[in-house]
Amino acid sequence: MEIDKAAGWLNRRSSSDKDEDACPFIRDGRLATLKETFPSLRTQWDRSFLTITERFPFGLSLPDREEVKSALLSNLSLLYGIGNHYDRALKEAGYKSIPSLTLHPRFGKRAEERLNEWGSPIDPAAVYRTLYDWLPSSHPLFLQSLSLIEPEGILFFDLETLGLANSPIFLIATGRITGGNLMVNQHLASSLEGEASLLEEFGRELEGVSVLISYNGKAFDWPIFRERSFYYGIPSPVEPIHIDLLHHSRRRYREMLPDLQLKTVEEYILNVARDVDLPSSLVPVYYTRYLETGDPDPLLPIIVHNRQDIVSLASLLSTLLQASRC
Amino acid sequence: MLNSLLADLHREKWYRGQLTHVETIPAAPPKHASIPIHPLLASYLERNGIKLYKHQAEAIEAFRTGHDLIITTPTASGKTLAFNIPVLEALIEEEDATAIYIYPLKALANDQLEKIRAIEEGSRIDLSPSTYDGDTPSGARERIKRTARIVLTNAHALHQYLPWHHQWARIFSGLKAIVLDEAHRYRGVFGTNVSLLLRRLLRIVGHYGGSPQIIISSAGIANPVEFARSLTGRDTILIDQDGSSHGEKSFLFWDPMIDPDRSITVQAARILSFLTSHGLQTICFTRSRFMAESVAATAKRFVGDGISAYRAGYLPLERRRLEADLRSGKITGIVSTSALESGIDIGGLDAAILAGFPGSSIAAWQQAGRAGRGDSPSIVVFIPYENPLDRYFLRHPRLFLSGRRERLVVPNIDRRGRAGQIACAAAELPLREEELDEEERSIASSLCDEGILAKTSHGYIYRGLKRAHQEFTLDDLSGQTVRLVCDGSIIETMDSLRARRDAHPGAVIIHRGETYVIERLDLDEGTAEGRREEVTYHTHPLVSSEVKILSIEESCGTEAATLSFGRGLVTERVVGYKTIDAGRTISVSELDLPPHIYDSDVMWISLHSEIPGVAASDLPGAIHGAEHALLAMAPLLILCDAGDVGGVSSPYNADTGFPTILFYDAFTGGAGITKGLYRSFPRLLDSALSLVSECPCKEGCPACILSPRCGSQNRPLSKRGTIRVLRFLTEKGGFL
Repeated sequence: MEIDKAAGWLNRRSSSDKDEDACPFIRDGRLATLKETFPSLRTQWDRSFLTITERFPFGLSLPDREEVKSALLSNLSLLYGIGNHYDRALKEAGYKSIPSLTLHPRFGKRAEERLNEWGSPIDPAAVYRTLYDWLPSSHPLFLQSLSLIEPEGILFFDLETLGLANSPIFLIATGRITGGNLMVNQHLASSLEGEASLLEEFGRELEGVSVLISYNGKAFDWPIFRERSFYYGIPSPVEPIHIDLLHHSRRRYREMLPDLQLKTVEEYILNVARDVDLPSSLVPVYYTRYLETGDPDPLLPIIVHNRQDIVSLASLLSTLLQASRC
Repeated sequence: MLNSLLADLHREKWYRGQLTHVETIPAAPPKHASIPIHPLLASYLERNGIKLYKHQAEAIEAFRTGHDLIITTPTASGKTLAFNIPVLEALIEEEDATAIYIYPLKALANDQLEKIRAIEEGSRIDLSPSTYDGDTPSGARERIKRTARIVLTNAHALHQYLPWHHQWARIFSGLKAIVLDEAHRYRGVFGTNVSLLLRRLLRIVGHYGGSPQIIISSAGIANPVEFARSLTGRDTILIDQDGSSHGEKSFLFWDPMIDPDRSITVQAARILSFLTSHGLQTICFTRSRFMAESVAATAKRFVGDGISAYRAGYLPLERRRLEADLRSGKITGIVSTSALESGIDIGGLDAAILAGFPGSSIAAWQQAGRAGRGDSPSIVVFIPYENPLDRYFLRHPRLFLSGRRERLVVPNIDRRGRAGQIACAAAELPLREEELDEEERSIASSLCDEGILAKTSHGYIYRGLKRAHQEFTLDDLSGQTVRLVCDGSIIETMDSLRARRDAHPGAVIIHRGETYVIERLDLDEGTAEGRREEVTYHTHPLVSSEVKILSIEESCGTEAATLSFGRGLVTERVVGYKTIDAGRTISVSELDLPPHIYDSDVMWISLHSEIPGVAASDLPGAIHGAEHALLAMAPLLILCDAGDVGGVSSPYNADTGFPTILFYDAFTGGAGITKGLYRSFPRLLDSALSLVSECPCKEGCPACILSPRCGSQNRPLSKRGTIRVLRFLTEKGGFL
């Protein structure tokens, strides 16, 4: 990967101070576009932000759709008034699934309503609404129910900001699954001027998306995206079904890991080692340095870091799905 | 009634003839006005037997015709109704209409909430009123923002909510009215910050399509329209002609010095007991919580039960019980700090005792307004302390009764504070160039250089690494505050200038009537730590300052003396503090604090010729005394606290080349006080001269030229020289 080569170059340069290699970002004394630097990358300039697109081989093996359906239908606690205790008691009494419960004198009506709501063929959006209402957001059914969706409808996302609340967003990365690949789009603002276009671009990417997948995105990335959209008066899109893998990692790995940063999960669970990596806390610092000096060197480690986040997000989803097989 | 009461007083064994003056304001009949109002409200008023007064009708009409207004009629004149009716009419008319009420304190918002709820229940108008502040449970916030039509909040809270404006989109887009209640508390630098907050609020409300009218409700002040303008930047209609009826009100001026053997506490308790045992329900206002407790305890010894002290921070439930006890007559006498002065509705009583002048006529009239139940006669007793202002009012009762009020000044903010506001505004919505004036643009551009803002085609956007609204708080937009932490919680924040004066180690701070003793002050860290402790003494910082005159803006006078106004560089050192108990200095302690150097507004008097009868050796004491006398009378003209203005005098001033008395605003950047004093200097001079010449003492005393805050311990001072200097200025100065 050429980007990795460049990152390695950066790393060497900072450790040796030797300037023998030419900086890959400078052409004839001016800023080179990344396209000039990496001709094989499919990049495209907007007036105010740059999009870097790359593909990685990736396949998501989802559980069998019928198995998931039957897991959903046999979870009686998805009905109002039924907890674990009732679930067990009803099953002992022969009511093994929601359809069989339609004959129950007390819960029959609710079971019927639920089935109507889900429809036939089953509507994933309706299923997720039920899940949100009745299960904790880290419940494995949230992951398993992805089988009900075409993998093309899944969008991984991650964004980078200059600070915490109310600070500008300068990078939004997305990942989608297409024909055996993970296609990563990184939209990077060429200056703070580009933030509004960046938000609009992400809004366009959200069209047709059924499920968003993030790491801590429910508490951080999505609310910030919304805040910033309001800030510029950009109509902010309705939040799609949103699965936050932090919640699932916490449920599954809390006892095994020192903390739940994505980096830690990568290291212990996904066996990903980042040889050259920028600590998250330095991301805003590097971008600020780029803004102040116009020197694009500091952008490279940000791009590498953020891209790895998306790749890890996809592989974490695979791992969590494996682990939560019904 | 009054005559027989006074006759009884004269028969009391403890009475020593302290009553020096009695003045009675005759009863006034109500002035009603009938205007058509919305039937839902009309029938509510009718059911409750309320007929509108003229000033209420005026307020309603002014609002209906689209104006902003300021209402300054007295306590108990029905101000609240005067602004609630037009606001509610607007809310009935449009179902999406909303209103925001802003209070200086949380407690006051809670009280208003109950009043609005009562109207809602009585009129069946859907208002869903709610307070929204730091105490609002997070579970309720969503619902309030979704459904409330009247939101009651406070300035500090609002400052923090503005960046989350999209959550308020519904409320802002339907906003018809912003009510600033108890607005007389927005004075000085706080007032400036509130005015800038209001400007930011209006900007965001405009973004959502709202265009509210502003209603200001305030105690009576000397310059209401000017004050409203400096707060809102807009023109307002003044509603100040009180149409409510009131009974005869008698003011009794009581000189406690005539009976030097009994403390003011005991004398106040005596009067309280005397009035309550004559069947008069009485409220006694004291300067401190401790004194409130002592007066109540002493009075209880005289008359037994029925006397209670009022504590700041009473919960609504306790307050309702108190109100019930007052109504049923179970409590006949209540002793309170200024906590009960305004805002909190305890209904009218028969008599009020002011144990100590509360610092301004504005506050004194608020306190006096507590006496008066419907049209029945009422009594106000004024007991002065031994300080210049209190004694001055005792000797000039008519001045107090003339209804003359202090001016409320809201200064222009300095560059640093403006920078904080600009940063916050840019964090709320991109700030467009055309929204800024020239100076603000230059501030914005330096904020860009500092990496706090970035200039984009959308406008200036905020890009600081920390949250703008935490970095720049409402109290200190320059981002340099000292937090006063007592027993683990922050009870106050102040700028570092005030912290040196009032929060040095050993200082006693009175916060909502409670006393706190400061143990540690760390200016670098921005904290002062203290503990709550009931102490009887209080402390005064000893301030020593030097002022370098930087520029002259205005000047007037004669060959003999000139009065000038301009800017100066103040170097202020808090050299120590005095501990005072029961009016006596019990100790003087030294402090080692770094000096504070700042720019401020200054005013100075330079004396160009010899003053007849004042020898050169007497001159330092003479001008020093004149400085103290003029300083002591400053609160008579401009609403300010002792210590808000500093003074320096010297027989030779290097900048002017003459003997000079100089005054400065004791606030970084200035606070508009000396500017106000410059404009009213003849009155200031006049009152200072009568203060000193009328005082019976020989050498100067705490009631005239001795100042508890003097950094040089009142040395040298010459009372004779003081009078000569002040007289010389009056006759030869020609200040107009």
